[in-house]
Order: sequence, then C-alpha cells, then structure tokens
Amino acid sequence: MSDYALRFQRNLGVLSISEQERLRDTNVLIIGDGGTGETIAIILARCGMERFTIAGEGVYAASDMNRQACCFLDTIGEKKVSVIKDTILKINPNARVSTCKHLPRGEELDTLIKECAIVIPAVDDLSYSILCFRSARKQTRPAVLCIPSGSLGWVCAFSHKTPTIEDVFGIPSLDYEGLRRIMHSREYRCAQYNFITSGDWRVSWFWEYFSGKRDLALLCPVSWIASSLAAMEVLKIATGKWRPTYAPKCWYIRKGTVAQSHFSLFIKYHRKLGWAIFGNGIGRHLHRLALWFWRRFFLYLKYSQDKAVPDKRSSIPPTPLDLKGDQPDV
Amino acid sequence: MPGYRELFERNYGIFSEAEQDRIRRACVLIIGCGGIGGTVAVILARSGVGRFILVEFDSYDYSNMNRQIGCFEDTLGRNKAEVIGEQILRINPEASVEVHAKMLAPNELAELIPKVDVVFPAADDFALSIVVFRDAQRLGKPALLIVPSGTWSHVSIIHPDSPPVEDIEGVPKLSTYEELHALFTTPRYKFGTYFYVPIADWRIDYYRSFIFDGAPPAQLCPAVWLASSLGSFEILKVVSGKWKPVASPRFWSITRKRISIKRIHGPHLETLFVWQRKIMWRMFQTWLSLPLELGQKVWWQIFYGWYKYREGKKPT
Repeated sequence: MSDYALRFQRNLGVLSISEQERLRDTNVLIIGDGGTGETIAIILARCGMERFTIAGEGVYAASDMNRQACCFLDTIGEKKVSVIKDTILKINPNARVSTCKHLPRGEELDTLIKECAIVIPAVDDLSYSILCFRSARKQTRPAVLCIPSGSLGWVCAFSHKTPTIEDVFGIPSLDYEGLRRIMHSREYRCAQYNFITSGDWRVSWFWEYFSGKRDLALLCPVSWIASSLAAMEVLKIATGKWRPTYAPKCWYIRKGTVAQSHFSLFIKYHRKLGWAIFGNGIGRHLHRLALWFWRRFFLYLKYSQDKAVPDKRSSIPPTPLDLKGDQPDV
Repeated sequence: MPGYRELFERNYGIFSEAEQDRIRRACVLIIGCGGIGGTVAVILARSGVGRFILVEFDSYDYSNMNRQIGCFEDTLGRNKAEVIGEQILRINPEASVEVHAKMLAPNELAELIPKVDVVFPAADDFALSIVVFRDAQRLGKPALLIVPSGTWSHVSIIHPDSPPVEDIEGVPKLSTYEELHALFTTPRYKFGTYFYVPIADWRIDYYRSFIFDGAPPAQLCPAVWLASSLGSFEILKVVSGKWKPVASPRFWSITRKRISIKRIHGPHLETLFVWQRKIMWRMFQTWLSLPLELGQKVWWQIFYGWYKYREGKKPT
C-alpha cells in the first residue's frame, strides 16, 4: 500500500478512489490565517488534500490560544503561515504548500485566485474578504464563506451564478477604502447589534468593541463548528459528489444551535435602508439623533443581561468567593 | 508565560467572570482519545477547561491520520492519551491532566466518575461506553454522547434523570458488558445500521466489509470534527450554565444535508430505525430466528445489488 493510501484509507469508506484522487489534485487558496482559515487548512490536509496556497501576515499572540488550531505556548510569536505549513507537512509530507507572507492585492490577488480551484477568504477584515469574493466571482472560481462571531456564525458557498456576498448581507458596492470606512463607522457598528441579540456577546465587551478597543469575541467550539462546515463545503465542491450549500442558503449558527437556513432578508434590507438614509452627507447629522436611540437600546440590552437570573443549570457549584472585581492572575 | 486571563481573553466577550470561572474549575473524564475524544479534549482545553482525566490504551497509527487531532508524523506509535495530555499543557500550562495510558475495566472507570463534573465515553467499543453511561447516570453525573459514522452523527447530553442512551440508539436492554459486546459483534444486530449506506454516505462495498470482515467504521475528518465541536459546545453549556444543553430525550442529528434537534420517539425516520432494532432483536431470540435469518440473507442480496447498481450509475 502506498504511503498516501495508508494515511487516508479510512476516507475510502465514503469516497471512491477517483473522488479521493480528485480531492488530492485540487488546489485550494486560503486567504487569511485567523481561527477559521487555519482550522479549515488542517481539516482539509487530514482529508487528503495536497495542494495548498496560504496567505497571511499574522503572528501568534496569547489571545489566539482560545481558538486557533496551531497556536501553542511554544509557537507564540512565530509567523502563522509557517507554523500552519509545518503542521500540514507533519500530517502529509508530500503536500505542496506555498505560502504568501502578506495579504495580496490587485493583480497579485487575481493571479493567485486564477491558479487555484477553490478560494476560502478567511480574513477578519470583512472589507478585504469582499474583494476576494469579487475577484473569485470575476474568474468563476467557487468561494466558501465562513464567519463566526460569539455564538453566531454563517457558512455557505458562492459561485459565479449565486447572489453575491454584498447581496446577502446588504453591503453597498464600494471600493476597498469605501468599504473600510463604512465598517469602521459608528453607524455600521450599531447595525451589528445582532452580535448581542443572536451572538450572546456581553454588552460591556460590545461597547469596547464599538469604540475600537476590543476585537471580535470568539469561542473555540463555535469557530470550529463553522470551520468544519466550511471544510465540508470545500469537500463537496472538490469531489463533485454532493451539492454544496450555495447562497442564499447557508448554515446558520445562533445561540447554541445550528441549522441550514437562509440569509436573513430582514437584516439585509434593514442595512440597505439604513445606508440609503444615513450614508450621505445629511444622513450623518441625522445619525446623531439615531445614536440617542442606540444608546437607549444598548442600555436596555445591558439591563436585561444583568437582570438574567444566574443559572442553576450548571453542574459546577458557584465559587464561594465573590469574583466581582477580582482579576484572576493577570 | 501568559496567564489564564490573557490566554482566554476573548472568551470574556461571551462568558461572564462567574461562568468562565466555572469552566476553569470544571473536570472532564474522557474515555478514549481517538477521533472524537482527542478533538473534544483539545477544544475544551482551548475554551479554558482546567482539569482533565484521559483514559486510552491505544497508540497512533497511520490509519488515524485522516481525522485524529494528535496524529502527526512525529507522534506515530505514541500513546494517544499522553500526546493529547501534552497538547493540553501546551495550550494551558496551569491545567491539571491525569493520564491513564492503559485499558481500564468498567469497575475501575466507575471509580473515576465521582471525581469529575462531566463524563465523555468516547471508546471505539460502544458496549464499554454504554456501561459507562449507566454508571454516570447511577452516580449522578452528566455525560456526553457522540456517535459519528461517515457523514452522519448523533450528539446529546445524558443527564442522570433523562432517558438513557439505549433509547436514542435503539440498543436492547442487556445487563452486562459481555452480553452487550457480543451483541455489537454479531452481523444480525449489525444489520440494524443499514441506514449508514443511504444516510451516512457509506460506500456499499465498505459497508459489506464492515458487516462481514469487521472493518472499522468509515470516518471523514470534517464530519468527526463537526460532531466533536458540537459535543464540546454542549459540555460548555452544561458547565457554564449559560445556555440550556440539548439533552436526552432531545439529541442533535447531523447529516451532510441538515442539522436538526430531534426527540426520542418523535415523528422522524430515526424512530423507525430504533424500534426496528429493538423489535427485531426480540424476535431473533424466539423460534422466529431461523426464518428471519433467511429473510435477512435475501434482503441483503437485494439491498447490496441495488446500491451497487446505483453507485455504478452515478455520473462522475
């Protein structure tokens, strides 16, 4: 038995030999080295895929420990793409992994996407991901979306025939700078209130996120559920055995449940309408008034979160110590 | 060396101090550190769970490479529990990990249960898992059930007062480990898993070797990791108390087309499989066993022929 067959023999209970070979020859491009991109890369390597291109410029930090598959105490401070490459080679020494130690733009992005068969934009910066989706669409490459946030998440596949990512999320069609400006504006972040209502974020964290002091709140199981679902979609596309979950259908993770669903039309039109009203010059002044509403709204959310009865369902008894204000070993 | 707060910083965006503190003090017993056991252990460590007891006698082999989280070139041949234990300590240096790198008998496992908060029987040997589930219920500890196979899986929490695993999986009520073990190895009972072919996407020839030659279940990495992530999320729900877990009589039913929460004896196809397994087993114990055996042979010929034909017809 060859080395490859020895390693991936258990896949053959589900995949035929020709499907496994197709998987082996498929070239995937993973843009971004955050929690999802990395986990997807490892899962795909374990499925027997051999050709990877990974782009990213991150370095492991302590706060990555809570969800990133290759982050360990001994890899903190190292370049993420190199660690991911080493890990893939420890799973399958014959894999061909090319790395790109920065995030490609313009022409370079187009060439990278042209060379691969499937694109996975997994960057934290949504406006950059949108550029990747646009480029993939232009060159008729399928792309897989995977976004987790708190206990909230979306996974689906896009092809050149499906609605675009701007369509499903209600994002205006602007260039990178324009998108970036919007996503960092207070108006846009207010519209992310579903991070609290559906994603179970704590309001105090959201406030700090709102003022740019915090990153996205993420949880390992949710991030990995989203990654496994996305890897499954890649497998569906690469083997051609099953029909992928194409937009506007999606896998929707919310408040501790997962289901196949559709992107919310309410959120889409809500954002579109909001942009039409508040996006232009006069609208910005109008938004000062709207902020009054948002402030009340977030205060209400905070109030209801604080008021929630401490749960008696937990199997662990509460600590005898009062933990309020106590910062366990910083 | 980064401290606990620094490592699990982003968890505090979702969990309150008290909830994260409960997660930190939780102790989990994992029996079997293979595909699901190892992955659940690592996810829980990354979520901040502080105490683990790992039991596993087996060591890594080439065939584990396609899904097991601790299996790499440089860990081949090493004991799985030891490797997973090391990974946990590389994630959270303050974690306490107790490793039992040998096969433990059901009564030795029962002695470990009172020390922990959640039990996860993830052994390949389902008979052993069932005995552990019973002990956990008897000793009043919640336990996690994950059954992965092909692209299909079941996930559920079994509370001490909820319906047992046997009701979810349709296992006849046999009292001893030996009886259960004998049950799971006879083809008569194994045929009760025929839905692995249409629903879990098994290839028919592999299924045949599973029934007659004792081949191990077919596994695919994304399906195994999905079930493990969902399972560890359920453990976090139980431990933190933030969400209500999906506990028996409800359970997660995962296929590649849909993921849904189902109920034991609810109006769905799996109820049929469960009752079929239970009733057929009863009937096999009576004088009916001879004609039934004959009928099963005929049925298998037709079933095999049909799926073989369909597999050949599928466009590539």
